[in-house]
This record gives sequence, C-alpha cells and structure tokens, in this order.
Amino acid sequence: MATRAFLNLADATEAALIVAAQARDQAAFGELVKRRQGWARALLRKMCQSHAEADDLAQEAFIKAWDRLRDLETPAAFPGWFRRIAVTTFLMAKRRQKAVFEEIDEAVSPLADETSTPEAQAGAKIDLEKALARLSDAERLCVTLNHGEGLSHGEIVEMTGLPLGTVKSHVLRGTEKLRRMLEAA
Amino acid sequence: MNDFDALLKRSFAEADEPADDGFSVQVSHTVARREAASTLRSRAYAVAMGVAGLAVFYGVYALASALGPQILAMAGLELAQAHGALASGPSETAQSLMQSLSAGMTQVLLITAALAGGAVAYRSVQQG
Repeated sequence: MATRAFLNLADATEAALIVAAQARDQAAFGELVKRRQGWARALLRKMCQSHAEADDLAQEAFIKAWDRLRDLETPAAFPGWFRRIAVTTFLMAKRRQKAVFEEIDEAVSPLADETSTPEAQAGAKIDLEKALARLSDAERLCVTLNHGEGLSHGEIVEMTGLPLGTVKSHVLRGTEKLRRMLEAA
Repeated sequence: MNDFDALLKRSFAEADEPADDGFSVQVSHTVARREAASTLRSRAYAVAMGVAGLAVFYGVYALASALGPQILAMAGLELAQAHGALASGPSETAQSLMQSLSAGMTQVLLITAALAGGAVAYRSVQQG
C-alpha cells in the first residue's frame, strides 16, 4: 500500500495503476478495471453468443488477472497479457460446456434486419455481434482475434493451442461466412 | 487486403464498447471479498500452526521429563565404558583374535597371488 499514498487514481497512468495493483492496491486495480472493462467485455462479447455469459467471463478474467498480476513483467504488456487470460477463460468455459468447436449450421442466413439500416446498406459498417453470432465458437474466436485484435495466425496458435491449419481454416471459413451473409442480405 | 477485409477490420475497430453499468464495482467487491477471505484464512492458518507447535512442544517436554534422566544415565554409562576400554590395553581374547586374523590373512593372500600368477601364465600360453 506504500504506492497508494502517492497515487491519484483518476489522473494516474495505466502503468502506475498496474504497478500499484501489483503491490496489492485494490483501489488501483478497481480503477484499472473501470478503464479496461469496456475493451475486455467487448472482446468477450464478440467471442460469446450472450452478453451475460461474456460479462461473467470478463469478471472471471479480471479476478484471474488480480491473482496473477505479479507475474506480469512490464505494465506495457498488460493488454496482450490480459487478452491471453480472457481467451483462456473463454476456452475453459467452452470446454466445461463441452461445446467448443462444434460446428453450427452451414447454411448462412442473411442479416436482413441489421443490413437494412441505411448505414449498413451504404457498406459503411456491419452489425458485427449479430453476424459473429452466426459463426461457430471456434470461427468466432479465430475471426475476432485475427480481424478484431490484429493477431497473426501464429499468435492465435500460441494463444489457443489450436493447430495452425485449423486456425487458418477457421479464419478463412469465418470470414467467408460473414461475406456471404452480407452479400445475401 | 480486399475491401471486405477492410470493412471487417473497421467494423471491429468501431464496435461499441459497453458502458460501465456497475461492472467494475462488482469486480472490485469480488476482489475485496476474496482478499478478506484470504487474510482470514492465513490468520487461521497461523493460529493453527501456533497451536500445533505448542502441542508438539508440550508432548516433547512431557516425554523428556519422563525418559530424560534414564536416557542421560544410559548415555553416561556408555561413555564411561568407552572411556574405560580406551584407557586399558587390549584384552587377551582380542589379542588372540588379531593374531588368528593375521595368520589367516597371510594364507588368503598367498592363495590369491598363486591363482593370479596361474591365470597370467595360462593367458600368455593361450596367446603365444
């Protein structure tokens, strides 16, 4: 708690918050959660089919992060380090449900409702969550990490433990399904 | 990168992030509860270890009180016997035993040398 006395939470940098949280400062960790919750929950909402499940997993991931924060070597590595925890939490949850990598119906339905909006019709943006929900768990995970988080196939392999060929296949098929959904709309 | 990939990346980048609807408070409360429970557990563990240490100490003390004088007396006796054995010279029995061993050892060495010499001679004959 020695760092706490010198830390104004609202103005503190993320690195300072992380260092304080590593010294078991709960208030600093609370501030860190407040700043990162949007990113973490959005990431997991893209991977999960329900917001409630994603929020539960995000909470689980933050608790794990609190427990393991001393393992983090540099504050700058926090986003990647936390992303790995979030993905592992997601994979463990799916394994518990024994649902991971089950394929869903190959017939891809068009995104009639969401692509009928003027914005989507103009091709500016797609309703990502609804489109992703139509992919299988594995495709959604790989597409999110590749297109959303900018990870290479190799990094996804390292993070998920899936074979390289499988990752490439999931990214390709997931992306193709999203494309077909939009074209059919 | 084609147009669709670019659209996909932009959609990911522009996807809305959920507002903090009490999520961070919930996580903070969970962390606080876990830390409190962990502190309580470690204190209970320390108390349990203290009680166990006292119990062991009391048991050893009781045992030492009962058997200590006997053990010390036996140790003193053994020490006195050892001191006596070292102070006096070897007994007659020990002396005769040592002589027998020396004589026997000579025989054993002679037989071993003869066998080794025979083996060497045999090998040289075979090779020659």
